[in-house]
Order: sequence, then C-alpha cells, then structure tokens
Amino acid sequence: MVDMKALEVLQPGAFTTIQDLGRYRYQKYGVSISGAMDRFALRVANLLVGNEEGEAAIEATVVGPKLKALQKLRVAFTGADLSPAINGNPAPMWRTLKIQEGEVISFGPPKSGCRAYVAITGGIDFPLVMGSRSIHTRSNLGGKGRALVKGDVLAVRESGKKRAEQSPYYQMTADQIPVYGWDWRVRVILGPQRDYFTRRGIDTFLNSEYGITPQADRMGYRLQGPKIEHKTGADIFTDATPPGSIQVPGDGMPIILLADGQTTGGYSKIGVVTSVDQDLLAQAKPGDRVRFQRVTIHEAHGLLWEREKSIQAIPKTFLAL
Amino acid sequence: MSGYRRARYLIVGDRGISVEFGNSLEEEINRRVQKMMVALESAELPGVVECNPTIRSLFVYYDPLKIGVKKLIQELRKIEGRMADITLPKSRLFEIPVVYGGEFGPDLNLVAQLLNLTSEEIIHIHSGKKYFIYDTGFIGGSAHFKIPPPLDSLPRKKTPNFGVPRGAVLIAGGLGSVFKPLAGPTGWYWIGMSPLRQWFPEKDPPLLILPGDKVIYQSISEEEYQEIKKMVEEGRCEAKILDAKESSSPVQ
Repeated sequence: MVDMKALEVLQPGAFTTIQDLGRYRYQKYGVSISGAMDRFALRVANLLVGNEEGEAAIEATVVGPKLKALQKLRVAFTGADLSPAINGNPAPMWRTLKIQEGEVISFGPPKSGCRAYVAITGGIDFPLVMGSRSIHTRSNLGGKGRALVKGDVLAVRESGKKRAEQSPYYQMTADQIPVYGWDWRVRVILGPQRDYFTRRGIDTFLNSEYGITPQADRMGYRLQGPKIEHKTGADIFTDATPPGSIQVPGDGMPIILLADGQTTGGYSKIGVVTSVDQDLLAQAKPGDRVRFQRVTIHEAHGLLWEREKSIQAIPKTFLAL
Repeated sequence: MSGYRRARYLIVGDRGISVEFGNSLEEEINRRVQKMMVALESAELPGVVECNPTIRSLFVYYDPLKIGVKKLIQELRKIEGRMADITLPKSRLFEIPVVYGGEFGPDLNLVAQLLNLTSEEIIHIHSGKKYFIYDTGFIGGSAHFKIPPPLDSLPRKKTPNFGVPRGAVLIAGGLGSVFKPLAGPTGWYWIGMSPLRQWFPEKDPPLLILPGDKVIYQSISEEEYQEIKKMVEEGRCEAKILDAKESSSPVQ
C-alpha cells in the first residue's frame, strides 16, 4: 500500500483543527454541527485542489501552523490571509499550488480575516465519527478530539487523491475572492423570540454597533454594545439554537452562536444570522465591529441561491494556468 | 388539552422551523413534541436534514435549496394532523447518585440563601422524586426535567459561568439538568456532582438518558462517589435502572 502520510505538524499555530461541512442528524443527542466556520472558503479550497467540496481540510485561526509535506501534494490556501508561505517564500492564495516532499508550509503575520483553510488533494484522512471528520473540541469528537499539536501526522485519502490529481489547475478571479475588513454588516432574520423584546430593544439591536469581545471562538462570539431591552424576562423554555442564533441573556448583550454552538439554549433569541453571513462572521476577530441588518426569509434564501450559483460557476470561470 | 390547539410554526433563520406546541412545562406538550418527531422521521420528507426535540417544540433543520419554506410548513402541518396515532416507547427510570454541596456543589449554599431555606432542605426537595425527562440538548446531551417548588423560582444566572465540570448537577429557570455530560460553560446553579456518564460517543444513540425517560436522585457520600466513578470509568457500570417496584437491576 502506498504511504498516505501527507503532512507533519511542526508547529500547531494558535488553534488549528480539521473541518469538513459538519456533523448532521445528531443535534437531538446534543451533538453540535461543527464543520468549517467559513464554509465558502472550505468549499472553494477543496474545488481548487480537485476535491469534492466537502472534504476535510485544515482550519487555522489567526496564527497559522507550520507543516512539512511528507509527499508531493497539491494544496490551496483560502479564507483569511495569514501570510502563507512555502519554504519561506510567500505563496499566493485562492489557487492550486504544487508542493514537493520535504517542503514546509508556514504562516506569518495575519493580514486580513481570522480563519484560513488549507486543502490538500484527496482531503484529510480522519475516521468518520457520526458522519463527519470535523474536530469538535468541546465534545472531543473527530481525530483525537483536540486541536492539532506538534508531531501530529495527517494522512491523505488515497481514493480521493488519485481522482483529484486528474483535475486541472485553477486560479480564482479577483471578483470571486471575498474582501475581509473589520466592520461587518451582518444580515439577520428576526425571531423566533422577537416577541420577548420591546420595540426599543429591537431598534437598539438593528441600529447600534456592537464590538466583538475576546470571548469569541468556534462556539460563538460575545458582543458588547448598547443593552438590548427585554419586555419582561430573558429566559425561555430551552429550545434549539442552530448556528447563527443570536441569544440575548438578561444582561442585554448579544451572543452569536456559531459552528460549535450548543444544540439548545434557554436565552431568548432576537434573530438568526443568515447562512451566507455566518461565513463572513467566521472571518471577524475580537475588536471588530458588527452591525445587524434585517432581511426576510425570502431574501435570505435568495442570497443562499446566489451563493450556490457563484460556487457552482467557479469551476467554469477558473483560469487554467 | 394543554398547549396550543394547533402548533405554531416559527421561522428560525434560513434553515430552521420551530414547531411549537405550547409555552409551558407539561409532559403532555412534550409528548406531542416526541410524537411529531417520530411522525416526521418516518415521513422522510425530502429536504428535511434532521430534527431536534426540545421541551415544548420540535426544531426542524432543512435544506432551503431542496425545499421551500412554504412547502415545508404545509408538509409539516399534514404530519401534525397524523401524529395522534403514534405510540411512544416505554420510559425507563434511572437512579442518579449525587454528592450535594461543598466543592461538589459550590452553589448549594447560595441557592439555600436565595430561597431562604437550609442546604438540607434543598437536598430533601431535590432528591428522592421521580422526574420526567423533557429533552436532551446543550453539549453532549444534557437531560432536563421540571424541578419542584420552590426551586423552580430560581432564574438563570445573568452571566454564564465558564468551566463547570462533567457530572455537575444543575438547576435554574424551572429546570434541572440531571448532570452535565461534558465540562463547559453554564448559566445554571451547580448544587452537586454525579459520578455517572451520559455521553457515549462510540454508541448509537450516544446518550444514556433519553427524552421520555425518568430519573430519581439518590444522595450519596464522597466515598461512594469515588467508588462509583471508578467503576464508571472502567466501564463496569453505567447506571441503575429501577423497575416499578423500585428494586434495582444493574445495566451492563
């Protein structure tokens, strides 16, 4: 059998995990969906190396890892610009790259965004746990149930690699590449507990700027800003809290739950972030500013269809090198 | 009849619908949630990814690229009309050993103070009663039940506490959490510790206690806690399931 060892972790970075598109059908048992925080960036990274869009890839956070290639690979860097380099030479993002055995992937200063993705041909070979390879550190699922550490060796999926190597090289065009700033406009659908808030509370939520506090990770972001007023109480009978849920506890400060968020919660939810903007929020960092904009469910579904069409179009509009 | 006459269908973002059967903590409402889940799962509706039953509502997670929201609600209403025929599985009764207070339940004294009772009175109210499990959620399938008065008057804490250990027995907002399946944050009061395990990711289903089951707390000593904890960690003991006559038979 061919040796499928692909990458050795020389330095783990701040918080580096393996993610695919997430774990479904187990929310009823308290299992978070998890998966890539920025699904767009993960899907594109996979397409760039010839994978199916949902293969497992590396998600790095602000400070990227240092990885040694243990075989010849195709890789792609997407998401946050954490100054990726190959053997110390700056590497372009959002395109297919080839690296040789022994070459080292590293990252430098974070330039924009928060989470970077590194996809490799074939995808990362982790055992499927409840249908997914994603690492969820809070419930110790996926891989070794923890973030990557120095000395970990990642293997590539043999079947996927053979197929992926037949695909052409791609480079995304400038207009297909998202731009990440530090002040974010996040579209939300109000509810399901908007009736728990006063009119003034809803106005405050929709017309104020909130700061992302240092308590921001894959589970969710705690925000700080003008207090959102409840009618009477903040508590509800615990119900489902899908990713994007904006909970407002009694202190009036919103908490946005994200990929690793819990499956249920007992604080009233003023709204839920649209799927497409959850990808954007994945690139927001502590200290960044957030403003909420109300959209209808039909508008949100329209955005989702647009997003799908643009992803479907990517393999056609890539420039072959 | 308790709960709403017809369920409310609430929009939860662009991928979720919450089918709400009432706004109170009642077994009858919760059984409707369970029945709706069984009916929906057997319907295998295209575009429905999964569902998550909670205290008084069923959360339906769907793929909007496969089914429109209007069509989905229509289909769900049809299923709601058929769910009366569903029979739910028989519930099991679990004995939950717990050490109350001290470092095992740092909030016990605070809870006693807030309710103007002694810690012993809190323990007496909390243990020895059968509780019906309404839902399993949060992280790792935390199982919830209705707590008796006056414990039910405690609100959740205004600011969550980060870093509560696995096994923590919690109360707040009219509910008890049988014990915390995994370490993590909580906005609830922490009154005791159980040595049992709820979360078995290698099994299907991955949880010991499921919605519809019943639990009864048994106050134990620190020594007993250590003993049971050791047995649980060695995989020699999961929990006691008690039958109707309250005689015990070990599981596994």
